[in-house]
Amino acid sequence: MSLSLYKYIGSVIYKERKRAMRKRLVLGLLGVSLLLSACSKSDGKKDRTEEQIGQTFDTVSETDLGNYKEELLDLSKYDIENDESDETIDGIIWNQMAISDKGYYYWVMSGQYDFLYFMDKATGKSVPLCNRPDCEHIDENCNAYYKTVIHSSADGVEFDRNRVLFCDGFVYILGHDFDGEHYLYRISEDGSKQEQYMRLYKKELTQTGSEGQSMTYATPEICIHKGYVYFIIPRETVPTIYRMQLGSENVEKVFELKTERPNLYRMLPYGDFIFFQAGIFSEDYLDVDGGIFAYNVTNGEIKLVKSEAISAYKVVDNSLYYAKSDGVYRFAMDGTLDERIVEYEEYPIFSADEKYIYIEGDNNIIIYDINGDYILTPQLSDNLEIIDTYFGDSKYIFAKGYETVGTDKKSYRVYIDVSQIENGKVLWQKIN
Amino acid sequence: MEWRKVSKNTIVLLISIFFIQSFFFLYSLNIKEERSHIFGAEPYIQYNDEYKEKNKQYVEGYHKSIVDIIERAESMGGISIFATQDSFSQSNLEKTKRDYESVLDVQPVAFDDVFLKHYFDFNYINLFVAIGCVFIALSMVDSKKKGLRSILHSSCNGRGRLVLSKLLAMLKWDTIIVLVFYIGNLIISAFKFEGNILGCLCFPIQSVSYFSKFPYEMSIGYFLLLYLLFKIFLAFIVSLIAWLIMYCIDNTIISIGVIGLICATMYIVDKVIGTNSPINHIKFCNIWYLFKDISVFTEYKNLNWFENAVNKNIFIYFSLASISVVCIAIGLIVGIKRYPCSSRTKNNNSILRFISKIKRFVISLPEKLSVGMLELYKIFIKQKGIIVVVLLVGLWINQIDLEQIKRTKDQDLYYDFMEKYEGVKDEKSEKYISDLEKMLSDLDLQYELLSAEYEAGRLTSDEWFNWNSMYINFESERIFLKQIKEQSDYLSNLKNDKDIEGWYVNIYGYNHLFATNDSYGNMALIFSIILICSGLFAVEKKSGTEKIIRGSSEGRFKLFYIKLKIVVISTVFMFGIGTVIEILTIDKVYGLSGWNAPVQSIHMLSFVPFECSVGTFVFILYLAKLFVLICLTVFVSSISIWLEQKKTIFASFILCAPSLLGLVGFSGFENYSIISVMSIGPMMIRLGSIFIMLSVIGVIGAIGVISLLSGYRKWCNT
Repeated sequence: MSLSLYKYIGSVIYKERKRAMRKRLVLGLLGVSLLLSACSKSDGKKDRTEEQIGQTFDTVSETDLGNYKEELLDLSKYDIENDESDETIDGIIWNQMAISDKGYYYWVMSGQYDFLYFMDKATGKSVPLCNRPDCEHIDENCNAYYKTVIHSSADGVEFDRNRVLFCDGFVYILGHDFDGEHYLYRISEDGSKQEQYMRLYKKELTQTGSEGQSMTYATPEICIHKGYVYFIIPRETVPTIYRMQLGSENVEKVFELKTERPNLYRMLPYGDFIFFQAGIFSEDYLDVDGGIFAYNVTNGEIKLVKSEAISAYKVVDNSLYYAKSDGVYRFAMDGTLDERIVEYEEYPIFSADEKYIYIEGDNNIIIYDINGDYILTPQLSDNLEIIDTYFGDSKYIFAKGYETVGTDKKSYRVYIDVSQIENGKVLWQKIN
Repeated sequence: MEWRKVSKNTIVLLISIFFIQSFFFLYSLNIKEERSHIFGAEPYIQYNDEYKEKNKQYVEGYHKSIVDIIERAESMGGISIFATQDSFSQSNLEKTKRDYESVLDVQPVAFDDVFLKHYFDFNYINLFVAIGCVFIALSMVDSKKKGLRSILHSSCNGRGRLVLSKLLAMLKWDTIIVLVFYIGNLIISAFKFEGNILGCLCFPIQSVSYFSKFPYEMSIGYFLLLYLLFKIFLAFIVSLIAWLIMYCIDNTIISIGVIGLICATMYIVDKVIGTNSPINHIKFCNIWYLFKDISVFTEYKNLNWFENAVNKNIFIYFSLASISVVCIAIGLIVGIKRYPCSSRTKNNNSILRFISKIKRFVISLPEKLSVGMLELYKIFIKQKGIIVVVLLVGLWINQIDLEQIKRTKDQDLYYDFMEKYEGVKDEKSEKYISDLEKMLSDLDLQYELLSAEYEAGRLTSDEWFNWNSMYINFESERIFLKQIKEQSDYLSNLKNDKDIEGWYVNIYGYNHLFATNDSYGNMALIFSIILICSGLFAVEKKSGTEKIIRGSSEGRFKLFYIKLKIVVISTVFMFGIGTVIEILTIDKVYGLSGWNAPVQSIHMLSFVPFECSVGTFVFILYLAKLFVLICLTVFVSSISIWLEQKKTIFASFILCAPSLLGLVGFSGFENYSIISVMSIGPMMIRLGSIFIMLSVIGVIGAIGVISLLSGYRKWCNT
């Protein structure tokens, strides 16, 4: 392979950075696992997956997505509004932040140390998740510090700084050791207690080559819902949704996609359901055939809710909002409605709540009302640039921003106050 | 008077330990200085202008840092997660504020405290003191050996009072050890760094920056006094535990095994339990934590006690007091209630009758055995060597992890390739590689074309996104191709340079077999051999039969070889089990194949200068490891001719001391560790030469032969 071609690809990729981010959301690459027919594995090898976990499976698997027919999923009968769910239904994407009733948890990279932070809903103040007043939060002795480098030692743990979850008064983060054991860590909401809570799976991290060993790690997709942790192990030959009861050792297989060119991604818990997307790439890889599925956590049923929906989606008030290449659509799950409500030139990255739809635009978000009418675009200070949107809940919407001071660029978490949208003037603010 | 009964040998041993630790202290200072000069990574504290300035800044900023803590405590009270009513966090904020308010008026003084910092930095002293304490405990358990237990137990002062006087004697000796060791090191440090001990005793302890978080107002002199008292208490507890174990278990091997097990447990507890674990109370009350450094004094930490914040030191003092009370109580009860002779009255209990029958059978068993079997009986039944073997095998079995790890896709491709094309390079394997290379190359070209199409607007965004995501997902194939091409190139070079027809061999399994160092497994094996062999000849001394046996020619020559033969066979047996478990585990988890391939097919073994297959090389490697173990067996067995069993064990453990220090994190000792020699594969790969390895093995072999000949001369000389 010529170097110039790679350089060219590099430049294209650079130019397409924003689009690549969109693409990541469009197809959920974190969960994607592809197979070439030339390199596909024999059945005997595939069976090994079950041996690898070595634990009990309650197999609810389907190999042929074509068997699924679109079915109506009337969420109203599940009484979701009054459901005392064990977590806050939020609009944060890819678990970049976690929402509790008291505030928001997120990672902050500070020099060589990574800290978990908490933003208080009541005061808007942000502090490291450390309950010790005698701590200056500058080194590894801080409760909010989580060791991240294990490559030089065999007994350390590397924490996944892209994921943080909250459920039932506890913060959860992911970590893995040098041997490839992946664990779920549980932290009390004030950060005073931390423990290695449960083992999820083991996956080889080292790549052996003639020059020695190198590390390979990919972030799993994960969500916690109604006492279970659901996860998709990245780069599996047969992409599968597993679930484990919190604190238990038994692994159950919820859904596996035994097919060529599979694509399984984007889990979204809501009420009694885990929504997820599954699809199959076309032979030329120029198209994907997939849709949004719903796994009923109470009876184990899986239904295809919406076909031809391969991009971002959100469930709000018994309606499914999903992105297509020309905008955001609303699909009423009682079957009465399926219409485009926001027109957009490409697959939009979006979130929605009871009042608004938020679409990530160029360096900012665009806010529409729930019926698709444009409201406003939040104001940005001159030297601030929004580079990644995390979305949020009905109180705050978050993003990652760069502030340029002279020649230096510094990254910040920024937010907008949703309550200000009604006033017609919204400003991005740095989390203090 | 019990404290005067400590033998001269023990006193000499303690003095030796003191000098060794003093030497280590000075040596570690030199090493630190040297390293800081060469690498600059680990700063070496010296009293110079830079240090003075930093110290001045610290002293001037101390008051502000305390005010900051108090203010932080107040402001954190406004954050919802910390302000929950009756929660630990809220209690912690209040307590921290109260504690630091008490040192608001402290005025630290800037002075040359370098000698104090180096003194507190030297943590090895705790280890040496602990060893000294165990020796003292050992010297207090001798009544059985001298056959005095029956006489002592029947006298009015020979039970509880004797136990108490032994404990008091231990306390006296521990006090002496602690005072000599810790004050000795303080004086050495003061001399080395020209520190003024007496001049600084009145300064607040917070003047030394290590104690910036110390929330009590006291002078350095007062702190040192408390520090020594705490160390005496700790040393006494170490002695007490060691003594109790040896007193309750009438078997040296098992006692030492139990002490080792407790040490290992404490170490693991310290490593595994985090400072913020829900069970962190165990971590802080663990003796290892108290011994390892001075963080017990320098680290401010409140623990959760039913949602109340309680300073960790309260837990520590309470747990130490509880341990000592419980141990003393057990010691007294055992001393009073345990009778040296069992009752001979008729037993009506059928279970006890059955046990009694078995005991009688076991006692009568040796009479029916041949000489060889009798020796086997002595080692494994009488000296409880079987327990060591069972524990060792249990440990290995416990370590078995046959769960197949989830491979990445590129690893799946690699394993598939090896399944199909393992062996010499042929057209099929090269065609597979070239096809894959071509496919990826075509894909790159297509990327170039399609990106141009997309730029020109002839490709829709969703088509481009789909294709692009597929393109990125071929990363696994690219990784695999890079890996297999490297291996292919290496095999081609091997053919050209050395004329060796190398094979495609799956290197994952061999990487684990050759390059992974199972330090803990090796250490356990070495310990087991030492424990089993330590009583081989010493047991004859103990039972007083040595002179009778050596008086006969069969006892001198034949028995010598029989005894050695048995321990060597035992070593081979233990080694065999360990090896089988190791190879089967690696084979199951990673896969081992291609045994007939030339050994140079594996890149990391390219330096092997002779032709042989991978299987033969593995065999040679394990044979060399076995040879090292047999040498160790002979060495320990020979020592047991001269020394008693306990002394043999301790003398042999000196061999393991660097390994142990290396394992528990004292860097620098690994190079002198016997584990490095035991782990022949990793050592050879690290050195990149088979000859250096052979030289090391030669030296070990020479030691084995010398010890065998010396032992032979000693035992067989009438």
